[in-house]
Amino acid sequence: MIPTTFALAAICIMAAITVVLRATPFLASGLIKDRPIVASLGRFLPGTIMALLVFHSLYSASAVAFNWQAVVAAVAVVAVQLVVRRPLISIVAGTGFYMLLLNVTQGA
Amino acid sequence: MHVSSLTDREHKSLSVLELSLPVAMGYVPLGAVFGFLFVHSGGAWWLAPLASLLVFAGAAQFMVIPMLVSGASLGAIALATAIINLRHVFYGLSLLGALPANVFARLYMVWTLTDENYSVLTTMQEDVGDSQRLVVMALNHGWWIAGTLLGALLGLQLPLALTGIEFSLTALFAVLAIEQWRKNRRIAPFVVAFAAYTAAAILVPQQSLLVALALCMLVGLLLSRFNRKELCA
Repeated sequence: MIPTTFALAAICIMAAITVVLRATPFLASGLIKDRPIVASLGRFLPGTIMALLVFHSLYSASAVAFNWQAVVAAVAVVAVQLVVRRPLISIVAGTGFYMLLLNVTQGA
Repeated sequence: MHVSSLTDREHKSLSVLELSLPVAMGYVPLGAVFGFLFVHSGGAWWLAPLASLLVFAGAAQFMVIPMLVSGASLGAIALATAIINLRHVFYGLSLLGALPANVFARLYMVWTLTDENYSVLTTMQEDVGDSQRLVVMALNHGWWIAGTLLGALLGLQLPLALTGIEFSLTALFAVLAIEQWRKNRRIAPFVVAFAAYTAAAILVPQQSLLVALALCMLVGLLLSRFNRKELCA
């Protein structure tokens, strides 16, 4: 049993902390906006973060055992996107391929 | 709030639907799992969608369930949330010039800056007007809340036939990584990310994402100091 007032307090605290973290660079933007190093980082980070999120979700998906199906499907998504350049097609095809691989190889 | 012109729409390469549907495929089932776990751990059903509305941070929401059950202190919950979401401190650096003029629109965009919304925003930012970016943020927020509500109310467990559908978020990140590469034609961010994540996963497996991102920031700072042109689009 989770006490409701306790959960409400926890939710509010979590929301406040999350929003402050997300707002930090904007709050500091007066100090940092015109620095060339920030502009350069701002361009460097999106590709880096996207790649990190891919690696992290593959790593998390392998928490129990190495999830080779996810790695194969991720490579397939990259290949499809490089060729067709339609995000929805690449993502639906890749996810379908992953689910099929799971079903075939694990008999799920 | 400025209403996007027709030319905005004509020039954008990725449509609102195209960017939000993959997020829906990930957010609805994952939100349902969160709602289901929350209610089955003994929480009031309406608290689950409230958490998804207010917090809107998947990993932190999952993490807090066992802490709520065991009656952890609010301080411990606050600290755990800060550690898990610390990476978001870096996200705004790419969006400093991209916030809408309207104060509420601005607040909403900051509040809903999840991994997925960050990825979508940085891919969209040059192509689309404020209103369309807000529509995508709000749609994605809505998927997450709707999924949570489904799981909390129906006790919806992921049907076995849908096992693996949450891979759509991994696929979304992979697709947007390719689009980032298409924009800049620089391989450095991906090489640095791979090296940093590998090192972080070996050294600090519990906080691999945060540590890897901190390492990337460090390398990014060094690179931009020594060779600014190599990094820039």
